[in-house]
Amino acid sequence: MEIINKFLDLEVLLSPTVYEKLKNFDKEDIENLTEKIKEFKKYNDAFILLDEKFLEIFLQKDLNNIIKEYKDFDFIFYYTGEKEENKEKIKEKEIKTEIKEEIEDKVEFTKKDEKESFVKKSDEDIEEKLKQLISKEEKKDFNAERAKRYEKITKIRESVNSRIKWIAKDIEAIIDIYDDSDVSGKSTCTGTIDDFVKYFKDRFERLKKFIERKAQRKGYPLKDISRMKGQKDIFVVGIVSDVDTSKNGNLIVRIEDTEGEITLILPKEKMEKGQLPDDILLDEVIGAIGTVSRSGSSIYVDEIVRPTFSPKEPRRIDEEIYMAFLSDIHIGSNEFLHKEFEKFVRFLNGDVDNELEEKVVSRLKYICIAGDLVDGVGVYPGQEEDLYEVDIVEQYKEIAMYLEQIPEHISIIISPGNHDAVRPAEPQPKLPNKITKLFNRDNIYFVGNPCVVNIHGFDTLLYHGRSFDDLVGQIRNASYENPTTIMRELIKRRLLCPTYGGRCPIAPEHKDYLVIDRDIDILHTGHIHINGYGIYRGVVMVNSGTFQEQTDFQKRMGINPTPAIVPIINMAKVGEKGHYLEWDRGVLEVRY
Amino acid sequence: MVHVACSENMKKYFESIVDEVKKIYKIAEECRKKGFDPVDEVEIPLAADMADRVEGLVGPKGVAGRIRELVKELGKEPAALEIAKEIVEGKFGDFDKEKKAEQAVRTALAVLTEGIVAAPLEGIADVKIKKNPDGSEYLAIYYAGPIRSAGGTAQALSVLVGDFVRKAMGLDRYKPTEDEIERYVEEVELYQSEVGSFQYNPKADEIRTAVRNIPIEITGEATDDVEVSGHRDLPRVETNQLRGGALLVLVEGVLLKAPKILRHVDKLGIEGWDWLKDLMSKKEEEEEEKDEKIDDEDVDEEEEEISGYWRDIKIEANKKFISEVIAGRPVFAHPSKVGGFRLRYGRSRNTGFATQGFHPALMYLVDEFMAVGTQLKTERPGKATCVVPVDSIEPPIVKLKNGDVIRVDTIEKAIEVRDRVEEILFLGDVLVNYGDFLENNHPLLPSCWCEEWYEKVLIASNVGYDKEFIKNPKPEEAVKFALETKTPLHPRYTYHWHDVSKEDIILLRNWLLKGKEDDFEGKKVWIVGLETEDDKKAKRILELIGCCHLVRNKKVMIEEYYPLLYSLGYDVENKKDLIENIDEILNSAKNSMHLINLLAPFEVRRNTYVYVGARMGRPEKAAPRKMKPPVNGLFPIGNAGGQVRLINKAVEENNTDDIDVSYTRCPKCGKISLYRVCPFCGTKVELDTFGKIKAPLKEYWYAALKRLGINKPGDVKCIKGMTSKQKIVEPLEKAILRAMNEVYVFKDGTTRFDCTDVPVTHFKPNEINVSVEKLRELGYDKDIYGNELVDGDQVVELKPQDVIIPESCAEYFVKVANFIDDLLEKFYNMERFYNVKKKEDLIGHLVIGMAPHTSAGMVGRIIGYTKANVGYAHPYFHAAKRRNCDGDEDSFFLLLDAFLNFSKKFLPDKRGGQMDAPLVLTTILDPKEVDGEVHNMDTMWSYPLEFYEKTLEMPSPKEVKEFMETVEDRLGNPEQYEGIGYTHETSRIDLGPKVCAYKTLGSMLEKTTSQLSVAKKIRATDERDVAEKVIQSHFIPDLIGNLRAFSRQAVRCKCGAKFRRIPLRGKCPKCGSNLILTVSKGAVEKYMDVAEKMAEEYDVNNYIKQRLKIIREGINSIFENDKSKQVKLSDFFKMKT
Repeated sequence: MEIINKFLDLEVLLSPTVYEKLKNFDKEDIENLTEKIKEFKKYNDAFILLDEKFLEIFLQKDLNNIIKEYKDFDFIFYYTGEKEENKEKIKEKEIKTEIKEEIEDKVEFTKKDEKESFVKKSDEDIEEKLKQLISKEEKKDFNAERAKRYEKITKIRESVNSRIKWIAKDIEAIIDIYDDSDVSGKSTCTGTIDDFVKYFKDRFERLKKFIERKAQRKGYPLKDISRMKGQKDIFVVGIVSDVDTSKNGNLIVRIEDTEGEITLILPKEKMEKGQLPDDILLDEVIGAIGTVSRSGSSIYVDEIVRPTFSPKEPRRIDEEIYMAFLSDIHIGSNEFLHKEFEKFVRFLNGDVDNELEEKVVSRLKYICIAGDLVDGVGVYPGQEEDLYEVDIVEQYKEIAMYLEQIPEHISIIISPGNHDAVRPAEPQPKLPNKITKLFNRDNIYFVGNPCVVNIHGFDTLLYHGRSFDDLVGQIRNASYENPTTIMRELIKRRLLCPTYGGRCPIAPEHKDYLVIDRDIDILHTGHIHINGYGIYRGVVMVNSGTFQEQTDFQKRMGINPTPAIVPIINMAKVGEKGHYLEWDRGVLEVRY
Repeated sequence: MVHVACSENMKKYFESIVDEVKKIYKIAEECRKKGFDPVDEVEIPLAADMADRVEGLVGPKGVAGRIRELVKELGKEPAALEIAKEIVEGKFGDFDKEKKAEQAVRTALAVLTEGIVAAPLEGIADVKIKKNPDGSEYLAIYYAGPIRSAGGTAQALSVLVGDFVRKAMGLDRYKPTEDEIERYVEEVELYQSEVGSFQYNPKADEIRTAVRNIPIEITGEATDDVEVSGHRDLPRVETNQLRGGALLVLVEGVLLKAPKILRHVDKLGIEGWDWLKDLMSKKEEEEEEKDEKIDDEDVDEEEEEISGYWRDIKIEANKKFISEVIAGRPVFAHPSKVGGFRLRYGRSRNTGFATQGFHPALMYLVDEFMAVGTQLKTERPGKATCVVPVDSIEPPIVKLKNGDVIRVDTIEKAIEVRDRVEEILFLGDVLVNYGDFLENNHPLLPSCWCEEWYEKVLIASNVGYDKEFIKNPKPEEAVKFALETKTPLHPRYTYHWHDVSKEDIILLRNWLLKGKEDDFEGKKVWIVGLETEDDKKAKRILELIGCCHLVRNKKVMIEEYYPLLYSLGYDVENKKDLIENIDEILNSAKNSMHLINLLAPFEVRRNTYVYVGARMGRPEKAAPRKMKPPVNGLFPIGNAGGQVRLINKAVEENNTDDIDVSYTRCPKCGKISLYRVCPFCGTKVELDTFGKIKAPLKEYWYAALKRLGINKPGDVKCIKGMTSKQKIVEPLEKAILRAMNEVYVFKDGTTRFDCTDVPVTHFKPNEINVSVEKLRELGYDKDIYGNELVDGDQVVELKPQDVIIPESCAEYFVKVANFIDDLLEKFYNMERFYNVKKKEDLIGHLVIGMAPHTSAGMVGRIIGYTKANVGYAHPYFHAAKRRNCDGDEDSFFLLLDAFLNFSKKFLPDKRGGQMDAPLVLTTILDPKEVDGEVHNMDTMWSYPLEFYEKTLEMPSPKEVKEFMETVEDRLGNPEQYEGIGYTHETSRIDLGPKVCAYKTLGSMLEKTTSQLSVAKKIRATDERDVAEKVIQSHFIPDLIGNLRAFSRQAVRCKCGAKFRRIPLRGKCPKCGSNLILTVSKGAVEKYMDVAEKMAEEYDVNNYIKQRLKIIREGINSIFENDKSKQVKLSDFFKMKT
C-alpha cells in the first residue's frame, strides 16, 4: 500500500505485475526509481501508468537518455490508443474525472487478482487522492516556474561568449583548512551544565594565555588578592561577569577566574582621558594592572590589557591573484536579486566590459562565501509569505546550479549562516551531506562557522556575524552602517561573540571555537547586508554585503542594505593602492 | 443616602446593603483599633459613587464634592479637565508646582476612568516641569506600563489633560529635538518587533507629526529590557530602554483614538490640536485608496439581479481568530465553513455582554471541550466569547455510524449517542445579542430563518396561530399551515437547501420519488431504498440539507417527509408530482434556493446566510487564589522553612534566617517586636528600625500558639520575605488560623477566590440552591410576571449587586468565614460573626468583587451557588469591575476579610504593586458609572420584525438602534435596574458539562489527540489544517524559543541564587552547591515527538515537515555528541554485515 501511495503522489499508477515486482525491491531502489521518475516528470508531466515496459526503461536507462527519448512521448496515446488532441485545451474537469475513473478502474482491477491488504481502498481514499491531485494541478504553475528558472540558470555559462585568457586556470589552488578551528564532526555538546562550565573555562584559559603573553607576566590568582591589600602594580586576568557604573561615574567591573572573583574599579577620569577603555563587555576576558584596595576586595585599575593582535604588515604574495567575497545570497527569498546574481556569474565567466575587468576575472582564483546561501525555512515567523521557493532543498539546488556555472578553476569555500540548514547555535557545523551532495563540483570546500582556512598563504577567518546584532547595542562606536567598526571589536578581544546570553545563541562545546586563536590575515563576515572594508592591525576586514534587496523588515527597522556589491582583493598588493575593488551591480571599480 | 434613580423597592435593597457594609465596617474598626495590624483603622474607604472613589484613590482631599458638581454641570470629560485646572489653581491646597501638576493629571485621569482602574496611580510614574533648549519650561508626563488599564481613550485624554494643565500653569510647549522625534519612531518599531504588537501600526511619518505637535512630552520609565540601538543617551530621555507606557499612550492613545480626542477638543474649545485633523484626513485618504483596492471585506453582495429571500449573500470569511491554534484546544468550526455555528439573534437570561448561548447537547458532542464558562475565540462579531447553555435554540444535527441522521435536542440524547457519532453535520445555533454587534460596531449579518422571525411574520400578516405550533410543529401540520395561510414554511422544516447545488436537489428529488409512504414502528414514514451508488449520493444530500432520517435494512426512513417532499414539489396528500417540466425549471432557477421556491407550493426561506467559526480559547476557572508558592500568611521566615516555607518545620529544626523587616526593641521587655503591640508583654511600640535581623521564629511561634490557645496547628506556610516598602509583617496568628482552616492569602492580606465572569439577569431559585423563603427575606417577592414568588421554578429578575458563586467557592468561603470567626474570637477577642456551617449559610453575606488591573472593589451579596465553575452576576456588576464577559476572570472575597486583613502596607513596592488591591470600595452600583460597554446590551423581550428584515441589508448596528432598546436608553431612570427583558428562555443556567475536557485530560499528547478527534468529527472543521496550525503556531515557536533559550540560558542554585552565566568555578559562589540549568533538555524537546507524530499522521505540508526536520537536527546537534553519533553509525554497519 505504501508503495502505491508513493507512486500515486507522483501521479503514477502501477500495473499489478509491476507492483508485485516492486514489492521485492529494496527501499533504496524504490527511492531511486521514484527520484528518477520525479525528475523525468519535470520534462513530461503526463499521467503515467507504470507497466513492465516502462519499469524496465526507468530501471535500465540513464535519466538523461530517458528524458531525451521520452520527453515528448504521448503516454495517453500509448495507453488508450487515442491521440491527445491538444493538451492545453482539454478542460481541467475532464482530466480530473479521467484520473478518478482510472484510479477506480485500477482499484477494481487490482481487486480481482490481488491480496486483501491491497484492496482496502475506500471511496474516501480516492476522494482524498483526487483532492491532492487537484491541489497538485494548482501547484503545476509553480513547478513550471521553477523548471523555467532552473533552465535559465543552467544556461548562464553558454550565453557568455568570451575570449579571455584564463590565467587563473594555470595557477594551482592552495587551500588548507585548519581542522582545529572547525567544529564540524567534533561537536561534544550534550547539553549538560558541565558543558557550559567547560566552555567558559576554555575561553578563559586560552585568552588568558594571550593576555599574559601581552603583559609578559602571570596573572595573580583572584582568590589570593585579599592577601595583597594596598599593593600596587598587581596584574590579574579574569572573565567579566558584571559591569556597572557607580554614582560618580566610575566603571565597576566584576571579573572571575576559576577559583575566585574580584571587583575592578575603572576611574572615570582615566576613561575620559582615554587611558582606560570604557567599552568593557560582559564575558570578555581582560587583564588589569592596578592597586589593590585596603579592604582587599577590589582593584583600582591603571591599565587594561586585552588579547588583541600586535600590529603587523598585511600579508601579500608575489603572484597577482584575486579573491572575491560573498555572503547572504538568500536564494528563495522574494527579495533575492536573480538578475544581479546572474550578472555576477556572467562576469565570472568573462562577460567583461573593459581591460580592468578582464584582468581581474582572468586572475580570479578564490571565492569565499560566509553564510546564508539560502533564505531557509522557518527562520522567523511568517517567513513562508516572503519566499518564492518554500522548499529548502530546492533552495540549495538552485544555489548549487548557480555555483556550477562558475568556471571550474575557481575554488569556492562555503561556511553556513543563521539562515542555513544547520543548527542555529554557534559554532555551526558545515552543511550536512544531504545538502552538499547537491553541489556538483569538486572544488567547493564546505566548512563550519566559524573556520580558519589558509587560502594561498592567507589565513582567512570566515565568520557569519550573528554576534554583530548584540555588539551594535553594546558598543557606542559600533554601527551597522560601518561594519568594520564592529569587526574591529572582535579583533581587539580575540572573540567572535564576546557576550553570552544575547541574540546570538551559543552551543556549549568543550572548546570555544569563537576564540580567535590564530593571528589571521583576513576576517570575512556577512550577516548585516552592508558592505564594509578596512585594515586593522594588519588584518584585512571584509564584510561582503548581500544579494537580497531591502526587506520589509529592514525597511521598518531603517536598515539600508547595500545589495549586489562584491568585494574583490588583489592578494599581491594588500594594503597598497588599488588592491581593493568592488563589483558593483555590474561595474568593477577600484575602491582603495 | 441612595443617590441613584430607582424604585422604592430598589432603594430598600441598596439601603440594606449599605447598612450591612457599615455594620461590618464597624466591627472591623473595633478590631483594628486594638493595634495588632499595621494600621489602626480599616484601610478601604467606602465610596458611594465615582467622585468618592476618585478622592479615595488619588485625592486630593475634598475633591469629591466638587467633582460631583462639575460632572452634573458639564459631563464627565469636561469635568475632568476643569478639575485639573482647579487643582493647578490651588483650590485644593497649595503645594509646589510640579506636585500640583502631578495631582491634577492623576485626579483628572481618575475621573476619566471612573475611579476604578489602577492607571491614575500606577500608570503615571511622574509629572515634571522640564526645560526646552531655548530655556522655556514645558510639562512632561512619565507614563508607566499600567497605563494600559486606562484604555485607549482615557490614555489619549490624559494627554489632553496634560496640555490643559500646561496652559493653566503658563508653561511653553514641548519642543522636541530631531533626535528625540526619531527616538520615538525607533522605539515604536522596536517595541513591535521585540515586545508585542499595538492595536494600530502607525507609519513613521505619523509618529513624527504627532511628536512634533503634541504640546507636552510623553515620556516614561523603562518597561522592557530592550535597548534602542540608535538615538541613545539623549539628555532629556532618561533611559535607553523602551518606554512602553509612553509608546502605548502615543500609539493606542493619541494616534488610534484621534477622532475621540478631536471630538473633545472641538467640544471644549482647546486650541493647538488642529494638526490631528490633517493627520486623520491624510489617513482617511490612504484608507480609501486601500479600500478601493481590497474592498468589501465584509459586505459583498453578488448577483444583484436575484432579489428576495433566496438570493445568495456573499460574506467574506474572517480568518483572524484561527491564525493561531493552541495545542489541545479544539477548533469547532473553521471560518464561515458550512456546518459551523448558525447565527441566531437574541439574548437569554444568561447571555449578552460578550457571552453567547450554545446548545447544551453540543457541549457533550464535542467531547466536553465546551463547558459552562469555557472561552471561545470567535469569528464574529467580537473576538471572544464565553460558552453558556441555552436550550431553546437550534440543536446540533449529527450523523451516526449506522447512517441515521438525528437532531440531538436534549442532553440525555447527546450522552446516549455521543459514542456513535460519525459526523457532526451542523453545530446548531450560537445565540448572539444585538448589543454585541453594537459594541463591536460589526455590520449586522443576515438573520437565520428562525421561530422568532417566523412568529413576527405571522403576526404581521394577521394569521392566527398556536404558540405550541411555533415551538413544536408536526411535519404535516407545518405544510398545511403554510399552504392554508400562504406564509413561508416553518423554520423547523426549512432545510439548508442553499448548501447543495441545483443538480443535487434534482438528484435527491428523483431518488425520493422512488420511495413510498409506509408504516414504521407505528409511525408514518417515507421509505426509500439505499442500494446503488446514486442512492448513496442522494442520501448524502439529504444529510447535507439537515433533514433527519433513519437507516434500516438498506432503506432510508424519513419521518418529516411531508415538508421535504412538498418543498420538492410533490403533493403527498394526493400522491401527485406537481412538477411537469423539471428541466425547464432547473434551467431557469438562478440558484438552489430559487429552484426550491420554484418547486415548492409555498415560500421556503433561506435557512442560513452565514455560518460562524469558533475555536476554544481558555478553559473556565474557579479556584482559590494562591501565590506561588501558596502561603497562609505574610510572615517572613527567609529560607528557614525550606522550599515549602513551613514555619513549624523551621521551629522544629531550630532554623532561622536573616529577614528584612521593620521592627523595634520593646522598651519594656527588651525583646524584638515586629508588631505595633509587643507580642511578649503587650506594650504599644513604634516600629522605628528597619533592617536585617535574625528572624526570632521560635519565640514568635510559641507566643502565637499560646495566644491562640492551640497546641498542634499542623503545617503553616509563610513567605520568604516582604516585598513592601516598609516591610511591616502580618501577625503570625493570622497565618496559623488560615492554615488550620485550610485557606490561603494573597499579597495584600485578603483571601480570594477566582472565577470566570458570566452574566445573568434572571434566575430560578431552584437552579441556585436557595429556598424561596430565604429569597423573600432578601427582598425577592415577585417573579417576572409580577406573581408572588412561591415556587422554586419561577423566573426572578436578579438585583444588580447580587451574585451567584460556584459551589467550590461556597465551600472555600465557608472555610474563610470560619477563619474570620476564629480570628475575631481568638485574636481580636470579639464575637464570632459569620457562624456558618454549610454553604447555604453564606447566602445573604456580602463580598467584594474585583478585577485585576483595577484598584476599586464592588460590594456584592451572595444569593446562591451553582455547580458551574463560574461566577454569575448581573452584567452591571461585571461592568462595575470593568470586565465584560468574554472569558475573563476575577475574584470574590468576603467583605469582613478585606476590612480586617487588607493593608496597603503589605503591597509590593514596585510598579503595578497597587493593582488588584481594594484601595477603595463602591457600595452602590450606579449603571452610569460602570464600564460603558454594558450600556450596549439590549433589554427587549423580543426583537421587532423590522430588525430581522433589516439584517438582510447588513446595515451598521447603529442604523437599527432606533427600534432596539438597550441599557443606555434606561440610564438615569428607575427602569435601569428593573424590567430588563430577554428573548430566549433556557431551562437552567448551568446545563452542560461543568469542567472543560482540556482540564481533565492529562498529557499534551492526550490533549492534542482529543483535539484532532473532535476536529475529525465536525464537518465544519478541517483536521489537517488544525494539525498544521497547532504545529506551526504552538509547537514550533515553543521548540524554537526553547532551543534558543537553551543556548543563552541562566543557571540557578537551589539556594535561590541566579546567575546570568555559569560562574567559572562551576559551583554556586554563595553556598558552594552544584548549579542547575534553568532550561533543561526536557523542556526543549517537550513537543518534538508529538509534533513529528502529528506531522506524519495528518500529512501536513512540506514546509512544516522541513521546519520540523531542521529543528530536530538542531536539537540533536546540541544534545548529542558527534562522537557517540559516529559510534552509533558504526554499530549500525556492524549489524548489517
